[in-house]
Amino acid sequence: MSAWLEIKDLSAKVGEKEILKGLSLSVGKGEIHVLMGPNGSGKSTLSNVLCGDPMYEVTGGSVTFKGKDLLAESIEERACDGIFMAFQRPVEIPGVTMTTFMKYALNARRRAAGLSEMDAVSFIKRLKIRAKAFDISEEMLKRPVNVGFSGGEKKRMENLQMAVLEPDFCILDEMDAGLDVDAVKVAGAGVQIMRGPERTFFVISHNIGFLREQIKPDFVHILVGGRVVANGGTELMDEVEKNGFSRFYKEA
Amino acid sequence: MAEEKLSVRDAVSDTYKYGFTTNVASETAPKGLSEDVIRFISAKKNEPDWLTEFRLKAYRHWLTMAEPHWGMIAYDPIDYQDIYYYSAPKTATAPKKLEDVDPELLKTYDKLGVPLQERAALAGVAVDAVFDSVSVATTFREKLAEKGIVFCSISEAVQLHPDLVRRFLGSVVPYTDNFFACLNAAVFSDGTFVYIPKGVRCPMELSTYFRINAQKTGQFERTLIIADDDSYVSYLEGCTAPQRDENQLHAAIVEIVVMNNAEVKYSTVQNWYPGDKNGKGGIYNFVTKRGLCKGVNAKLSWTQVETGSALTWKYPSCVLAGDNSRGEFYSVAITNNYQQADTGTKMIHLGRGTTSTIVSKGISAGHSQNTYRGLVRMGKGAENARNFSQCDSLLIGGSCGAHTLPNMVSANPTASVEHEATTSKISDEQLYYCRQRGLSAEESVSLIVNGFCKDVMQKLPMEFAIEATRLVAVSLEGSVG
Amino acid sequence: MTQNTEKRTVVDVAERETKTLVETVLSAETVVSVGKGASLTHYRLAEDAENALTVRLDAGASYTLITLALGTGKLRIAADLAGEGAVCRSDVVYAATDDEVLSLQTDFTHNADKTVSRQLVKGAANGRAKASFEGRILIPYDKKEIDGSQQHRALLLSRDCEIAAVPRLEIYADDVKCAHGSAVGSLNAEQLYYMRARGLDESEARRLLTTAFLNEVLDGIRDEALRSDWEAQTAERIGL
Repeated sequence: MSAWLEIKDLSAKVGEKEILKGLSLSVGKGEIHVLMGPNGSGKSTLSNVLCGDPMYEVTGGSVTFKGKDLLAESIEERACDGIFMAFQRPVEIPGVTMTTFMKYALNARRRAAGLSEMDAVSFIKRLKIRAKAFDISEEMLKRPVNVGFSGGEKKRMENLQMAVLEPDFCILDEMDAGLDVDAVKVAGAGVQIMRGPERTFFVISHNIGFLREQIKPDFVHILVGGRVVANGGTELMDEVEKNGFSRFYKEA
Repeated sequence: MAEEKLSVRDAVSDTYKYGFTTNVASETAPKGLSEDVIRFISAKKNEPDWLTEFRLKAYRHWLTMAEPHWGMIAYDPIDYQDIYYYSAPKTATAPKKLEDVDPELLKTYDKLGVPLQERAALAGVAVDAVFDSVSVATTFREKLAEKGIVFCSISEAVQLHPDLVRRFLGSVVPYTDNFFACLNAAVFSDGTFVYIPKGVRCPMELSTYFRINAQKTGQFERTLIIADDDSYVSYLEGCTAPQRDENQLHAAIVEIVVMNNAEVKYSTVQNWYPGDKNGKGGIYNFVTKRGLCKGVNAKLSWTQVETGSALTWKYPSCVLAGDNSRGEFYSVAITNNYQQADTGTKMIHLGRGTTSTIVSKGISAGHSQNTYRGLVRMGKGAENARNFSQCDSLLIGGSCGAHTLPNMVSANPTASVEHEATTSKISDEQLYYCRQRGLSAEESVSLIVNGFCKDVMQKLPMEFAIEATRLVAVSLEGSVG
Repeated sequence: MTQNTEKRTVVDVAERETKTLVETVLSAETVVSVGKGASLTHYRLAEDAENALTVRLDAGASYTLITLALGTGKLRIAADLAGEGAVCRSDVVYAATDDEVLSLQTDFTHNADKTVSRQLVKGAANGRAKASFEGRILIPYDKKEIDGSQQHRALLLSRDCEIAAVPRLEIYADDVKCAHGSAVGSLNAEQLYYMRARGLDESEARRLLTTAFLNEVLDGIRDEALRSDWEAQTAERIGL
């Protein structure tokens, strides 16, 4: 019986460049995992390959998610299966309001789950309650998707989408990157509010203070050269904080 | 066999209830165009001599004209002698029950959310009064009549309000204007006439409901709208549901006259049959639409959502003659498969302080070609006139074309003309983002395109806007693989 | 590199060469070819001239053209961005006055991937002059990562002049980023007012603003003597 999420010997390239080179990882339900590693080690590539970004070509290996062959599914099938990515640089979609967008997304998931679509009134209620938790004003919800948002606002919106869509596997790609001190303090709010036995998190970050104070992971993995070279707990973060990735380069 | 024939004849005779009293053969003029055919049409409609003369003059002029070919559209030559210019509605071949209608068409109605009672009429089902809207229409008409508003077919108007029609027919689009307008002047079948008296604000949108039944206007439609001083009207043409029509060539005219301080809003959703996936069939739509802002502070606003027809050749225009008059053009044109659209507007600034705004959104998909063509002209007298144009094109897939051809001419140093245009594609990042949130590729495209068109969609009357949003999705079906 | 006959001027810039060319007497036809990775800066004065310029850019070539068009004339600039990564920048100032009739036509074709074109055209008409600008950007089928832009700005300085503009984008590929803009109008009234409030008389203020407007293009000329000479000629020709 394979784990909830089982990644085996995964290889992937972008263009001609091989980035993942036989990466393996087992992940259980309700766990919080942190992925660390130097730039170019494959953290973001792994996240996007799991989501099905067509930019990347899988060249080998397998991914099993909830007992299904994940790599055979389309981007949206994976999303409806519960995979959510909080993007490092969310793209702008002019003319489409955040509210409309989230309603479409939620109802796409509900349809896929065989549920009826949520009516506008119930949806707005759900949205407003959750928006409050992330300090998002109603005015912000009326703005077009990510258009004219500051870095911090974009991250709050990614958090809000996560809270509204209630995925069970959340990937947070450098939630804290490029934020000022105050904004970093709320970047982890999504994880804090939503962590629980039903939900698994992948958190990518270089910021050990952020990870330690806000994320409080169960497991830490070190990626180097497209492979996982070390698995452990928070002690790995301590080591990286002290010595950087030098030891792991050798192991790779 | 014999029984079936009988039922066909019954169906034909049904149409006689609408005023046809002679037998089938004489209801149809012979193929082709001649002075006799025009006299026949005019006689059938019991038209006064001046109108017969108007048609004949147009016909004689048309003979001297050549079909224009400056548009970025390509098509096989049209044989004008191979067209029926007058025939009774083709109810004999029409489906008799909604169940007989092509299921694909019904599926589309479903997607568009067309009310059940409207579907039969749209599909051309040959049943009289399939729905209540005849009575609805009558009630509306009475209400309008109370205010002195005239809203009827142009044939009726010729009989009931000959002075108004004679005064304004051809006053904005003269028969000499262009090849297709000239043809229309010679053979126009029917269309709508609207007159809003001085100081009257039309209490309702003159809309689709009426049109479904009031309308078997045929391929050479002619509309004349007159808004007298201080009046207001919003007119909606067409509907989002694809309309069944066997005529390939459409050459319509819309003429609008806007007097002092009056305002006309004209909204169109055009969704005629665009041809199949391989570009076979479809309507050729050559339309001349023009409004004259005759009075001071007159305002005319064109809003169009164009998704249908194999060929579209259409430039709703404003002649801004009255001082401080204002023209607006808001357009969404979507082409898919092998459709070709060459559409845009003309803003002719003649009066002082005239202003115009143009917002055009073109979306090309499949193997289609989509062209924005515009003209903004500042005449010598256009003191302090202002124009601003924004034209954006969106490409979906690498086999289509998007072209932007604005013309601007200024002969007044106090006038200002400004044009901006962009062309781009839906980015891979946008698609990925939407799909990661769970939307299918098609839903994502339709959402992104609707966002792209938002500035124009907002200008549509509310009920129309919702339908138009759905129409965007349906029109782009199959554009992403 | 230049071969000049009365009818035809031929300019060839060989692979990886960098050249600057100043052309003040135009023949009927100018044919320019910029080789692979080569770079040409080309300044041209077209005074009452009729000329058709065709430019071909090979892969990685870079071409910078500044044209000053004065008086009655007919100019055509056609650029063929034939090699991958070619970059073409063409800026024009045109000015006409009295009964002059000036027409400018540009036609840029992106025949290779990753090509970039930039056009800035600024013009002014005075007296009873008629000026027209027609500019086309064409992107053929299947071309990738194309970036094209064209901006046209023009001033009407008198009651009897006329300016017409027809910018055209013709695009048959989807991997493109294209923009064009065009504006025809008069001097900014607020700026005029501001200058007069500071004590300048109206004609002086108008002259300053107009030359500032046109000089945005001429400022790109790196040879200082040439630049100030052309700026002076422009001001004089337009009757300021």
